[in-house]
Amino acid sequence: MKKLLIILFSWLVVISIVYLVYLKKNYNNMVTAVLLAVGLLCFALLFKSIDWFEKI
Amino acid sequence: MNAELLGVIVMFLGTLLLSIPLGKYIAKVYASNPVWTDKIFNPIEKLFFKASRIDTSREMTWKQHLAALLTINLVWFLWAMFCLLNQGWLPMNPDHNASQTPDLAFNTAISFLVNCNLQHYSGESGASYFTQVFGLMFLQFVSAATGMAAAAVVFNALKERTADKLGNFYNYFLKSCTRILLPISILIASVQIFEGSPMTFKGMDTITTMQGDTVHVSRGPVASFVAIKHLGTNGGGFFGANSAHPLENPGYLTNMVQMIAQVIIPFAMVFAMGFYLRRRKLAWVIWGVMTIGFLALVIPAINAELHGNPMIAKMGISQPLGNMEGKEIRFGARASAYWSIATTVISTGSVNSMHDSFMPLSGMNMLLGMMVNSFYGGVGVGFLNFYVYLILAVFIGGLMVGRTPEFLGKKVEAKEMKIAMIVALLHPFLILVGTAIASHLAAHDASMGWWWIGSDGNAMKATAWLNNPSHHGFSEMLYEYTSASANNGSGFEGLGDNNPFWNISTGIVLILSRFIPIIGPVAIAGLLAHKKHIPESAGTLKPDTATFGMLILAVKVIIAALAFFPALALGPIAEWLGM
Repeated sequence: MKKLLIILFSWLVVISIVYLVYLKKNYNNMVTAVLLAVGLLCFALLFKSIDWFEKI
Repeated sequence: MNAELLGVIVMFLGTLLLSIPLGKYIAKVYASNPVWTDKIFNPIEKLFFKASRIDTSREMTWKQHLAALLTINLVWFLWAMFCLLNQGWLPMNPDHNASQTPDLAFNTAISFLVNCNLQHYSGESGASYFTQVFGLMFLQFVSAATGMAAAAVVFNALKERTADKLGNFYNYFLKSCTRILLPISILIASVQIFEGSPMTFKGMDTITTMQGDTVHVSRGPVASFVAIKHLGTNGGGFFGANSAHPLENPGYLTNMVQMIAQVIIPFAMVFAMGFYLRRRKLAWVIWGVMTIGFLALVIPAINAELHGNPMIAKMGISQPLGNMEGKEIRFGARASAYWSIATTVISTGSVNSMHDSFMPLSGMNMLLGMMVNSFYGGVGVGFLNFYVYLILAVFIGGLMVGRTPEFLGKKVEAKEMKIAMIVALLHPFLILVGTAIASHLAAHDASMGWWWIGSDGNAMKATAWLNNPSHHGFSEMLYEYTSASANNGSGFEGLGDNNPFWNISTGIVLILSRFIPIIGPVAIAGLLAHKKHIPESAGTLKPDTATFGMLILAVKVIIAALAFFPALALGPIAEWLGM
């Protein structure tokens, strides 16, 4: 589970940096990157919630 | 009039009669017992499993099931975003539909991923054939199968034994697609084609009307899309007008087939549980509770639509067909009212009439169907939502008789109750907080800034998303968040929802309200399965009795009434009192 979360967050960081730094002039690409990051963050929370429910 | 009512009764009874053998078949599929489809699908499934290196004999714990479920959904989310953001240059786009904006793609991708299909676009102009087939229709199959597979895990966990391993998720998932959804979808699509729905990849057709005007008519692979749209309780239409569109729902026969198709699996999953666990009486109790709730919503709605709009009656206009505003004459007021409640109760969210035009109390009943979200509910997830209420009722029942709460031989303790409460409270939390924020913005007519920029490049004001003032406008916003949180997908319409504020806020509500109510019940079932099985005794609370059924119904009504009554009072009830 931890491995998966690390992979997810790595994706999030990489995509964000690529879009925000190199494509910041393109409005649509920036918004796409942010929304992909939001989606990945939601999934990361959902993965984590499995552990929370087990330990609740 | 009698013929119309007879049509409604035939639809309901026909669904019930078909769902019992289907439930038996589903139970056999999940129990890996021999079924007639083995010969056709065994080789195909083996090919899939071999290619993906999945060993179906390797059973999973509840945590592994959920990790597998979330992982494949994450991949599909990225795939759907790719399709929607790039459809402009991808193939199979004869009508040259543009790629979706990022916020609309975010909403659409999540919406189809979570079996909701809350469409903030019109299918004929907002999605290419590539997106419709390989993006959206694909998600309609797999999202339905995801819910069914999760329900199968819970069925397995409810067996009267102590276990950690609860079958293989991929096995349940693929069999849901190949053995259940695919064969029935082919049957439904065939009826649609014979009745006149298009099934083509050619672009728009051009016709000349009797007046001599030239009209471009959108078409596409509609018949296949409509089949899984209903069977999987997805609800997303190929066209913007959904099942009110004559090419999507050509006549009364297709209306009946689509109606039965959307209710049959939610019915059948309850009976499947009964056959799977050999507890048919429990299945009938659960189905009975769901049906009492459904009838309590649908009968007043049909009655309200039957009597027409009193505001029109005050003008001296006769309404012999009932309240026909926003309804198709080929379906009539009764069948439309039945559809509106069925589609909101079972989380399909397809429409054959405009919900915005229904009488206020009918609108309230649609909202209540989604607020309770387990009077049948969606494929698989309807049973999971019901299971949460069942655990709550077991706990309350146990406390009332002064004994440790037990369900099917397993003690229900604090941990399970905490999870059940989180799941039960998440739904009203997401709906009411979302509606409160939107209402606050509308009440102050706030400038939306980046969250809504108009076609002239200037920021729009919040009230511009409302086409109706006062209570009805409030109902529109309440309905949108309720539909998102219930993963229903129907719209009250009249709400300008294709802007970043609505696309992103409902997108986040959609994703949380889909997966937490799956993770919670599977976790409860997994934790209970791990516990020592206690044989039934004279003091055991028996779940397969009418008394226990009434207790579950009371728990549902109390939770829905306490959580949602104030919001309903501000919307449809206030509107009704003002008529």
